[in-house]
Amino acid sequence: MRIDTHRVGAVTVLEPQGALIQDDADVFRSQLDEAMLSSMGRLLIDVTHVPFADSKGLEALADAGAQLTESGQALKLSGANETLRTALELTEIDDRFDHYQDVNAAVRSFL
Amino acid sequence: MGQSTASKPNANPRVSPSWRVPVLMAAAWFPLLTALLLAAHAWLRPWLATSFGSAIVLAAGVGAVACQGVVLWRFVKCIRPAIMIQSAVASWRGGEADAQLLTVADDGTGLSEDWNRMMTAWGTAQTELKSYRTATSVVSNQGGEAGYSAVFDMLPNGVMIIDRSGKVSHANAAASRVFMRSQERMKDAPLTALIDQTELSELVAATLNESRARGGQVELTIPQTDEHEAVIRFIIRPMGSQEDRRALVVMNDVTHQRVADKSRNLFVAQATHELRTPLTNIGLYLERAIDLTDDQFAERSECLNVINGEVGRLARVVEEFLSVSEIEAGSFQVRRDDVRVDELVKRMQDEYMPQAKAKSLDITFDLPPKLSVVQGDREKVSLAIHNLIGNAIKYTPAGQRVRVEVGEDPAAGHVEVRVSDTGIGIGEEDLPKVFEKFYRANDERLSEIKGSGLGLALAREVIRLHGGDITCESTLNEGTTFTLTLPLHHPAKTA
Repeated sequence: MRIDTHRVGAVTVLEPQGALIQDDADVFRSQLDEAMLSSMGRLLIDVTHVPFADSKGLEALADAGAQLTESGQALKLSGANETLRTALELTEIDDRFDHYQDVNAAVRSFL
Repeated sequence: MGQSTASKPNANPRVSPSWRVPVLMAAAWFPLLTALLLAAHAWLRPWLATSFGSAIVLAAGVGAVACQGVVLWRFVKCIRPAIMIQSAVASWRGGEADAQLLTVADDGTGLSEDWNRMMTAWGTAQTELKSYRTATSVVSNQGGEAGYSAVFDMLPNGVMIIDRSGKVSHANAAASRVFMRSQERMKDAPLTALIDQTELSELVAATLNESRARGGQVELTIPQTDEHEAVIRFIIRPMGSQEDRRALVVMNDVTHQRVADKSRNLFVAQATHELRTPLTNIGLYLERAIDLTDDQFAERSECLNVINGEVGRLARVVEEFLSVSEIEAGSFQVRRDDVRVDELVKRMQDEYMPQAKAKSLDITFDLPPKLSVVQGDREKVSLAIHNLIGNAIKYTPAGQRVRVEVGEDPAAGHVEVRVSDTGIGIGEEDLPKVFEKFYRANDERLSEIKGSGLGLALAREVIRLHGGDITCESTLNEGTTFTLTLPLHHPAKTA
């Protein structure tokens, strides 16, 4: 799975390209952990190109969200499609994230 | 029953009625009724010997049992809420303090409803009291270690307490993110081991050692990764008595704000330049035109042409700034017109030919005889193509080539505008960033070429809103090719 990483201003943007499932979810989790450490929490996950996620993918997101919440921060997600949003709602983890329509809106929230 | 409810609160959140009381009452009622019947039997024995009497006795017996059942049923119904409340009270006495678990099943009687209402009010009061106690314990430092760490860890800003010896006595989770060390590793570590910044160390030392020191604040740049740095504002305040003086260090990560400030300043500087240049030219040529005599038609015409070109340039710059603001605000509107891309480029050909000629560029326009009409916003599409051609002319040195090709790919379902040049090119490391707002490649040759840094970002944003895209291929010192694609059928949308 390809996960693009770039910076907008001082915010690190992780952009997974594909579904967060099975082994890909493990790859995503390890990159996410690394990004959380190196970004000082100025982190955004742009899920525009994530069509769906399985339990492992959702767990990786939920754990990252919980980890940031414990230090008074919040994991920001942008561009979640209807399928992913429904999965987050059904598993009752959607409130662990701040949701934004696009990257620009999410980056502005750090100001 | 009540005790078992209290011991398993999650299994059964509500109190169930205890049947001990009605069973005992029934047990007491049975001997009494039996005694009454036996007494009646002894008194009426002669009359009962007849068959009519036996039938009456049987009917009376059945009736008595039925009446007993009805009376018992009514009785249990009446006392059921009282029994459940009694069980709830027993649970509470047994240690259950959760108001939710002490509510009873609502059987429609006023008593159970009132009880549940009272429990709900009590639950709310419990929650409020808990919040109040937490707040007051933290404020008055009565919460101890647990009170501190719970509040500290939830703060989005880094917080550390430095003791008299200059070591970290407390650090929250956000502070551990700033220093990229676990909280355990930060505890008891000297501040100087965490951050090698004399300015901060001196300020903390002064706060700890000088009785009248009021602390202060300092903004420091610290390494974040190998490539990036973070800007942290440290605010230092004294706390505790003179004998037990400590320093409170609050850290605010202002990196993003500083990057935004820098971009804003750059934008203002470049916007000023972009607006001033055409205005200066307009002013100069107007003065010259005014000084010309009535018979100098050719010169006056040249002046007016320059002024006209500069006014167009000024309008485009203003349009770019406004469009970027609209996109940022999410209010950018894309209209749906019939757009003939070939005609747009043809008009631009007339505009750019003289510019290219003045710069001794070899510019060619390769337009097809016929092209499909696309749906989109004519002005915005025109702005995007203007940017690509304008950039090619701007960044290609004299004597080099610029080529503009317009075509259609029916299989892919799009119209394509390709602008290639043999100019200075873009380095590999700069290529992914050319569409970022305000981005300027770190190339000395660009120092003399001014631009807002918005054109390409805006052009791609606009074309993407049409369902198309702009891509870039480039080799440093060899040239660049920008390819703009617009779908033949796409509903335009709003940013």
